[in-house]
Amino acid sequence: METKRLISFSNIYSSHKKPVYHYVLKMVRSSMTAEDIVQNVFLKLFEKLDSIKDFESIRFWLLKTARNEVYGYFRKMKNRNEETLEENEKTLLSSNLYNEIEEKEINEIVRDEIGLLPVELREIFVLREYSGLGYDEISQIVGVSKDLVKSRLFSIRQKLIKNVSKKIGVERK
Amino acid sequence: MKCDDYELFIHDFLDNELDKENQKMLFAHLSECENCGKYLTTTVSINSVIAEDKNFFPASLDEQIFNNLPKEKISIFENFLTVKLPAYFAYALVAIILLLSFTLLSEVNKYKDELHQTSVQLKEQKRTVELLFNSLPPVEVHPVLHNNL
Repeated sequence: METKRLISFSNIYSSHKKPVYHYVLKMVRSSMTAEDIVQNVFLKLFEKLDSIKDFESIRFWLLKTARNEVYGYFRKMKNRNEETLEENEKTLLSSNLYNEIEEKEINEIVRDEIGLLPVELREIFVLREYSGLGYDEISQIVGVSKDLVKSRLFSIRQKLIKNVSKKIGVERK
Repeated sequence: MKCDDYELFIHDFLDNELDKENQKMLFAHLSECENCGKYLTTTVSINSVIAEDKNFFPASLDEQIFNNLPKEKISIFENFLTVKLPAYFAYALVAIILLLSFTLLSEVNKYKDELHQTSVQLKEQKRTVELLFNSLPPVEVHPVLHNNL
């Protein structure tokens, strides 16, 4: 019974670990915090594995749980010290989370620009681009209408592309 | 249509959500508009960065998560089976089981002997009854006719 449970957990984990990790990482912008949150999310999944019946919506459940954890972290940080949070964010923005090599300049520009997006917009963008969710699922997780998700996503993409274009020297007339 | 509309088409096209008719319009526009061409190039570059990032996952996190999974819950029955008993307790238990087995075996043999004796006695009694029956004098039956007519 326990072995069967472990196999089931292992299958879900390997299929969904990356979308969950990237969502959390892009939201909190700290690899250590992201790892802690992702660990909590999957430990919760293991505890509730027997009660989960609809395995098709497991990604939705994981991202919803991850979102609660992320916002819980934001609240905790805000309560602790708002100024410290802002300072940390500035430090994190200037540092490279992935430790990539210099030649990948565009990669760093893109990552920095994604990091500069406001949290509410960044969340929509990351859920779509990194976690692979559809407009319906994003609207359910974030709690806004599908049309609003679509229009916000378009304006985020436009803004991101324009900012990246400026920095890499592909200036548009 | 403005360039903004074609930019939306570019995203729909990359998301595989643009129909054939609009695809034709988009490609016709891209062949003429340098700005939208650059927009498409940057979008593709960003998408390739995202695709590369998406494959990253810290290897240490796998180990960390699997090591922190709660240990197996052992039921009372399983606990009883897996409990470690002292050696002398186990020896005593084996001795008691052996003693009970021998007692049971001797009782079974005793009952078997009694049954055999009873069976022999019954056979003897049957033979005696047969002999007694055979030793009796034969009885002759004479029919008497009572006819006064």
